[in-house]
Amino acid sequence: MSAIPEGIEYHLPIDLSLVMSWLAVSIIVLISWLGTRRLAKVPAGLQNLLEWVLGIITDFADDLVGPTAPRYYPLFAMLFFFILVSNLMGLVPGLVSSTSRLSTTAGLALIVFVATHYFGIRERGLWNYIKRWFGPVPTWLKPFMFFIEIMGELARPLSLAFRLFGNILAKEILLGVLALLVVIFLPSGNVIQEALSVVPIILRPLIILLGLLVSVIQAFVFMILAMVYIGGAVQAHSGH
Amino acid sequence: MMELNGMLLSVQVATFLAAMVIIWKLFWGPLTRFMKERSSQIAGDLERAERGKRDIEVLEAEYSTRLSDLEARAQQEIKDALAQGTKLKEQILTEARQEAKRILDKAQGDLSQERERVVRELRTHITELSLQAVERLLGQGLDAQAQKHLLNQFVSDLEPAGKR
Repeated sequence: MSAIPEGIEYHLPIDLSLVMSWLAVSIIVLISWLGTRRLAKVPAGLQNLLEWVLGIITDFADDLVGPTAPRYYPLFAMLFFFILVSNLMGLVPGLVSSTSRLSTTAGLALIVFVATHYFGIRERGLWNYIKRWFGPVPTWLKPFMFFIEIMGELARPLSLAFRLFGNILAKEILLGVLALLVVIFLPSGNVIQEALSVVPIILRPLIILLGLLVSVIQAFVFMILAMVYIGGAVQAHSGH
Repeated sequence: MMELNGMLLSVQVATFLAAMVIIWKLFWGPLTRFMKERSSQIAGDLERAERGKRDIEVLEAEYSTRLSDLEARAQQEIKDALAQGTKLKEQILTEARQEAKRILDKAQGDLSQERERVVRELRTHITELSLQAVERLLGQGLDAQAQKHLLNQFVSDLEPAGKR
């Protein structure tokens, strides 16, 4: 049985989260293709939506990363769209958010972690990049500073991965439990249990609305944090 | 769910990176370039419109000045033409008056000469008639010498009376 009670048993030869990731990518490709196949000077429909979202992403990237931001637009845009679509897929009965699996969120966090340090070293040079971890402190404090900074750096991907994973898994479990309660209570034949089934029936749509909000917020938070980390790594005068 | 599968993680990362590259190359990259080009085009159009507006304002001011100049010049030319016309009119009138005076004087001279001529002819006729009358009265003819003498005397007697 699936860990999420409402989940459908697919019995696939490959991991379900991977299938859901591919489905998310396919949805993104489809939306992108529909939105960009006939580019109009006055945008409408999907082109308008894509332009609006991409405009927000590039504006935020310009503000947080600086003049080199256009190099990282693909990463930020893909992070946002992939996480958003994956999160929203969990709201559709029968589908599962691939972001409710730690392997997926850890993979995304790992990409941000590697990208941050790779781009930081490439922009500033290895020594300049490492030097900032010793901080503006007396020499005897520098090793401690370095240790704290390294801990901070390692905590970042962990926090990224677990925040997204936790939020989306919680949403899916909550929706699943509410669905399960309806399934258990409604055909029970017990008047009290039948009456109680009203509670999850009312709550579930509200939780779906909340899930919608959480899906957007989590995608946005993940992308913004990626921008902050990469921006901090590539900007020469950044304190962190 | 909570377990971390290294293989799965690697495939997820590869899927994400491959999708990122393909989607950006095929869709989002062209779209962002299109958006940038459109923004620059709009900015260029706005700048051109602004420049056109400024040019129109400058031209308007220039034409306004030129129009004022032309109006002033036209007024001046009208004034000059009027003055010249007045002057020409005076000149024509003066010349006409002079011409009229000259014609009048000439006519008066001619008249005077004609009168004198008529008077002279009249005298001659009167004299001849008088001589003929005298000849008849006397019943005898005078010779040509005597007639001429008598005529000259008569004329000289008449002249003072004619001048009076």
